[in-house]
Amino acid sequence: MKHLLTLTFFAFLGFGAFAQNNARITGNLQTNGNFFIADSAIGAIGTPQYDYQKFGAESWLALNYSNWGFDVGVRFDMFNNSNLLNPTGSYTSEGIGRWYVHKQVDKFDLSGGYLYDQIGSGIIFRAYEERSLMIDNALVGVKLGYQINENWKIRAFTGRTKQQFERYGAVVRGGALEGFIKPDSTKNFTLAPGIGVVARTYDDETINNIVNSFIDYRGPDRFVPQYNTYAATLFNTMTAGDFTWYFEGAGKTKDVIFYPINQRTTSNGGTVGGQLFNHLGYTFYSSLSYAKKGLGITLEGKRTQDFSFRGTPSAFGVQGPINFLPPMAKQNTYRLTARFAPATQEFGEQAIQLDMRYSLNKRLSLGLNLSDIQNLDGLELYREVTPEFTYKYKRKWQLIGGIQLLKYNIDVYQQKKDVADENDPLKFLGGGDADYVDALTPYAEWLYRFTPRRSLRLEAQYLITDDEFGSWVNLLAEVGVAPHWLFYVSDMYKLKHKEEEGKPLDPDKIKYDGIHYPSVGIVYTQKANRFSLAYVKQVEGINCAGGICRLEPTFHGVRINVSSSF
Amino acid sequence: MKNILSFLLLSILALTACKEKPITIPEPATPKRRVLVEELTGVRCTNCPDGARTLLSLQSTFGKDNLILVSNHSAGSFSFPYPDSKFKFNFPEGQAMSDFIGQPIGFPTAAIGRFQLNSGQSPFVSASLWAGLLNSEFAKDYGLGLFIKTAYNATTRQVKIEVLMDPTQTLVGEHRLSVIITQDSIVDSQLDNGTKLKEYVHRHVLRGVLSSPTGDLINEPITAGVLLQRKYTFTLPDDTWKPKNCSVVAFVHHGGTPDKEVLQVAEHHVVD
Repeated sequence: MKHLLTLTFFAFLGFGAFAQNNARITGNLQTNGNFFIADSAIGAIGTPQYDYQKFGAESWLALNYSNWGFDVGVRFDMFNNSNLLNPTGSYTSEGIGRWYVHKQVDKFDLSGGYLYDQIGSGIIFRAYEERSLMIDNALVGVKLGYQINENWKIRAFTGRTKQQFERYGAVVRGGALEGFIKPDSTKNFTLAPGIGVVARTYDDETINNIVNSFIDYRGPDRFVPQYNTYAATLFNTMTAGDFTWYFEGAGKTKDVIFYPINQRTTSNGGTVGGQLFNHLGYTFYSSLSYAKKGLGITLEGKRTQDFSFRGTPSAFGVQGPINFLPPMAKQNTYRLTARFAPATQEFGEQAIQLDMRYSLNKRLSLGLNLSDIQNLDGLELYREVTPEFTYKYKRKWQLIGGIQLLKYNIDVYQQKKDVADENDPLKFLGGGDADYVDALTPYAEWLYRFTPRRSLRLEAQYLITDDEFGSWVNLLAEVGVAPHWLFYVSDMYKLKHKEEEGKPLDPDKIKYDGIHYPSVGIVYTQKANRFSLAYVKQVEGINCAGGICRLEPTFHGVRINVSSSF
Repeated sequence: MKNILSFLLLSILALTACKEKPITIPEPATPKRRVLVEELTGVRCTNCPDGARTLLSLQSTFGKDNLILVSNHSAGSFSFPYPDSKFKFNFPEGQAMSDFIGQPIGFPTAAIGRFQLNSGQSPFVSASLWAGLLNSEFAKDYGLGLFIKTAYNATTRQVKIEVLMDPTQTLVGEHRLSVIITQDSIVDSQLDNGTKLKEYVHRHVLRGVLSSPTGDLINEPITAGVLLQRKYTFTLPDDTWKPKNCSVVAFVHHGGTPDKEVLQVAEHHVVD
């Protein structure tokens, strides 16, 4: 079947070229190559790549072709001894990772193949790709859209969720109606309402696995599952003058979800973590923005309960999501301010985030980000306060400075325990509680332009904490020679703990003490092509994208990346 | 408004169905053979003890003689001993055996009779699938009897092992025999749900691989009524290998074509 599709695609290409029509071919290539160098001092051992494979690679090559109102595309995916699917394992496979056909016929919009789409902000349905986390949950199916009038459109789809080169058994079907309303053309007031519904039907195998799990459940913990779960959402974006207000409320009928933290009594009277539940779920999300010259404010709020929506309840982490829950914390970019990022808690969280930016004048602007995430019982999960300033001196240099105050529940987010500490250096900020990382991270970035084409960027962060592995320093220098070259060198250093007499330190806590994590790299850009080569030594940590996170083990080796669009 | 109403009506028609027929929750299958469960674990794997407890519970449901457990400490860096660990449970042959089975996606994880849910998928599956797979594996019968005899010499600490394969059905294809040593109830450090326990009781730990980690090829045809015999010897290295807690586990399995499924397994204590 796959060969037939590939053949059909290239037949399209060939016929298009012969016909000399308004054919358009675009494409892109992304390739990552990792050479692994074992280093027991930093824990860079114990995976197949470090122990004997020595090299791993991933590549995606996409070709898109448009002609006669058709859009067709095919993508070749390859994973060779890759640690992207499982950071501690090795995955090798290759094949057609995506193909699609799209055609607009009058007011109808028809698509088939591997489709990416979302309803509203994605709370009930989002088929998307996030390669850094190995998320590719394209809907393998068909979609039919219809433009009712200039402002209203409706679409319906059905298919199954992609799982690497296979598909989850559950069938997904749904639809959405989206519109645009501008009551008075002379006023800046618009509404963009929408409504969506999605249903997921488990396959027999999934249902069998669920009911068979109950063999090890006590009677009261058992329930009768259902094949079908329905989710619906109502959303609207209202723009009124300088204000923009987005609201989305979504509900889900009973769904079998696996709650990994819950303690369950087994049939022999023991206790284990992880239990299946059959729960209703809901999510409310809203953001209110105000933007006027020099001032921007965004206030967001979200409340979620039992809104895990996956292709099977046995999928966890980054596997098998049908939906996407918006994150509620700042997307930090500096290495140390991003070290403790919160993963979205799909089983229950209430969160609020405020982001403000104000320009005092052309040179100086101030920013403030506040975010607070709790579970539904009020337990603090994450709190971040980050005031920041940006100072621009003509076009010659720019300085960004700030400080991040952080409280991070490492027990919930990383399942790591941390003992209470009476002598926590951040006691004055409420630090020292058990199972929390309390950190204070001042940071600065200085960009200096020697000429319009030559620049130097310096970064510095100092993460002060007594929790997890302790305090870190990170420095980076980057030289840019536009438009082609970028050179950088950085070092992340683990500060040593102070030893107290009669108080031996936990070996796991001090295992990285005094270790340097240097990186040096070169990037060459030629139009839409980017090549990079870097030697990297990187400590274990959390890798997040859009609130979806996973633990990344230590990396030591050489990375080659190629990305190209044509 | 008309659009929204039309959409709602269409949605109801398209998405909702008649009331579902209630699903029956099955009872545990009556075992028609023994099933091997290989748990991939490590002393630094914080979620693995939950997996071990789940498997012990399932063992009590299906019967200790029917469900044979093996804990293979070959979960990469999760299996590196702590500086204060008394035992080193990870060893190259165990790792080779684990690599032969497949790669795990997350932990806890176990291979239930090395059965693959889908072609190309790793036999190591997450805990939520174990009971279901066990139920279906216990319902299978490949018509293969498997027996172990042991003779232990306390002076030399040598154990002589005799494995007997007694097929009641003729089996075609490639088959292999794997023989391993496990040790039960070893007290040592283990990370358990974020807390490092110094006196955790490790159960059914894989300590030695007597055959090739990928299994010794059975060259003779497996014919109904024709008894096959294999012999192995192993010397318990030191006093930490307590003979009364050590067991020999033998299993017959496919070698990869078409799969790696375990057809029969047997377990026998080194000393009775």
